[in-house]
Amino acid sequence: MRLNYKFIILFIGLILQGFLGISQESIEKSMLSKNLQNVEVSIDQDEINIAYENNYYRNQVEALAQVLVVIKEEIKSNPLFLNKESLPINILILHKGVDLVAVHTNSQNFSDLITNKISDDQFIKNLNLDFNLESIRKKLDFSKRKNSSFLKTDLITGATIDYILGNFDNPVRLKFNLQPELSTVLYKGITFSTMFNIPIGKNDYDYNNQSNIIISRFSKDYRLIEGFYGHSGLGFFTFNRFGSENSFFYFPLKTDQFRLNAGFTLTSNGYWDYNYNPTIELNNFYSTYYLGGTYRWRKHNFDIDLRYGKYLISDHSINLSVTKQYDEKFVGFFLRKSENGTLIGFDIQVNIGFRHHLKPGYFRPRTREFFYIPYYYLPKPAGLSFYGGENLLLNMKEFYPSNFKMELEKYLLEIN
Amino acid sequence: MKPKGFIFFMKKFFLILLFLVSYLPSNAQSMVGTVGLLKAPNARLLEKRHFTIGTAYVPPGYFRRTSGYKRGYISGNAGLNYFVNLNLLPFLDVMFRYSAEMNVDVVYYRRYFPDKMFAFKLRVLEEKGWRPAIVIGANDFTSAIDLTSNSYYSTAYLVASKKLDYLQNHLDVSLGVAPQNKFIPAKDIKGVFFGLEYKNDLVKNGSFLIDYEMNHLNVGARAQFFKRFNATIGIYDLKKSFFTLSYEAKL
Repeated sequence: MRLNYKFIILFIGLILQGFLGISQESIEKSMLSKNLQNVEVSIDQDEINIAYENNYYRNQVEALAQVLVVIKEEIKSNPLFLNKESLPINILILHKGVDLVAVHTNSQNFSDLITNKISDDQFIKNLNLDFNLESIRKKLDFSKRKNSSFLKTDLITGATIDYILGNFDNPVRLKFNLQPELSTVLYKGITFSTMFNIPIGKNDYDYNNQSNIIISRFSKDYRLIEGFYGHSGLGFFTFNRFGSENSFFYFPLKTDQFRLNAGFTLTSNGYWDYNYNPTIELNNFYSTYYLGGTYRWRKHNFDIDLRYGKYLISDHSINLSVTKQYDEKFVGFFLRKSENGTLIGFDIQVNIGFRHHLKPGYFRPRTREFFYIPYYYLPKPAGLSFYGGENLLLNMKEFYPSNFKMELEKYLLEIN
Repeated sequence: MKPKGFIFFMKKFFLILLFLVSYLPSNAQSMVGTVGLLKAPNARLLEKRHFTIGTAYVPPGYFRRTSGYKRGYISGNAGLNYFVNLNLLPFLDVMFRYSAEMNVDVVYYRRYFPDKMFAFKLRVLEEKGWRPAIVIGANDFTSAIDLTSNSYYSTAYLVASKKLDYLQNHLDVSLGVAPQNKFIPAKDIKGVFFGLEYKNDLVKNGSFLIDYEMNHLNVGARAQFFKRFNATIGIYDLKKSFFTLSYEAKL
């Protein structure tokens, strides 16, 4: 009797699987073949839930496009599924193992795309992206995820240019720096990284031509509650700071339209000298903080950020910045007003390097994904802060729903 | 007196421009660096998500010194404007520019320093039917918001442009005003200005331009080549040659 009972359960399961028509293993296999990590696919009668993390495609939008095409192809290869009642499909996108943003759609949307009832543009409009993750997280089991992104080290190499304009005898003083960085995500959001600074070529900017470590830290990126993300770091940072830095984002509307920002640091003078010996002054800790908000005009991917705080050179500053996002490129204008004066300027961040990195492995060299350069129209030291290294909050804009919506079509067209 | 060789070259260059063409000119830069006619602005902006990098030659006798001895006065040297222009929003262009005086040694005692400035153009009305496009703009406006003390090229203006088509002929007419005001003094462009750009379908990628500003009548021609480069040459104030050259791409 027991054997028959089990046999009946198995038989019903197979029938249901055949009736549903799409295979969990097939989707997983396709996603893994795209070099995605932390992949999990869960299919039941009520819905399909998928999780993944991308560290292969430079652009997160391209990675999502690949996943959507995988799902589309799987549905397309199961004609019975096309005529079924619409099934919710949810995709959870992770970064550094932290759940970040969700894509909500349904099988009807894919079916209509396959049968040409809707265009790619309409398909994308029917996608719903937001920071409502709880309902999907409950349906997924982190322990079942395949191709883990943890304990894998990247050697990331980037470059920066330090410059000063305006001296009468030498109008442009330059220094080129190569900045290799070793970075490992140990577990969900826990990262260890060390960045070296190696001046190369002629330097008429300053007298420092020796290599040294400029950032060395442990950090934790996390999602606390729905729409609330944080970052905490401990270690050595730029501007010879040693201590702790913390920043927080809260999306009250669970979309990228509006965001509250806060942060505080407690640091002292500390650095790695040119012989790679750490030097720390433990009796001279200084705190900074800021509080503010960012509004995104989603129609144009245009951010307006306003914050007030206490900054590095003992000044209290109001900082206003506007930034336009063009897919992976950013152009911003900023104004900071404090007791030290007014600093205004603009900055540009462009994507560099290859569109696809090497396949993630235990050790992987790759290029930094961006090049950043600021220009100070009025170079007063107002509202300055140090750089603590790449983190989830700094990378957040790549995962913004409005950015996905605006840029997805060109990648879907390319892949199809 | 300009050397004969220079005039000969400019004439040849003018003819060559008419033929070194590829399809469809975009809205190109004026001498100022923003999208415009020859010197005067018009109510046109860059295409969406486009940016340009370029330079404009300001002939001697019209370039105003911006630092050191006799700053604010016509220096007698030519000048070069280096600009970057960006379509930040579909209705807003922003520009950053350096203006350098030619033939000036950069040595300590001259205290020479190139001038830098921001400018913007904001479209308040889109062209539709009989309605012209209307733009408000400002150049070198940072002194108005107490951020700098020097503003040699300041101007605030309102300009309207309207396209008129008749068979193969296309005329883009612009009329504007840069009033004197205490917030952004009208220095580089002042009072009423106007101009037109004429295109003919026979010369798809070229156009002829005339504009009038601050008692200067300017004429010139414009062409786009290799789908990326815009070039304008002209006669400023009907006396001195000038040119603008820019590279345009999409972000």
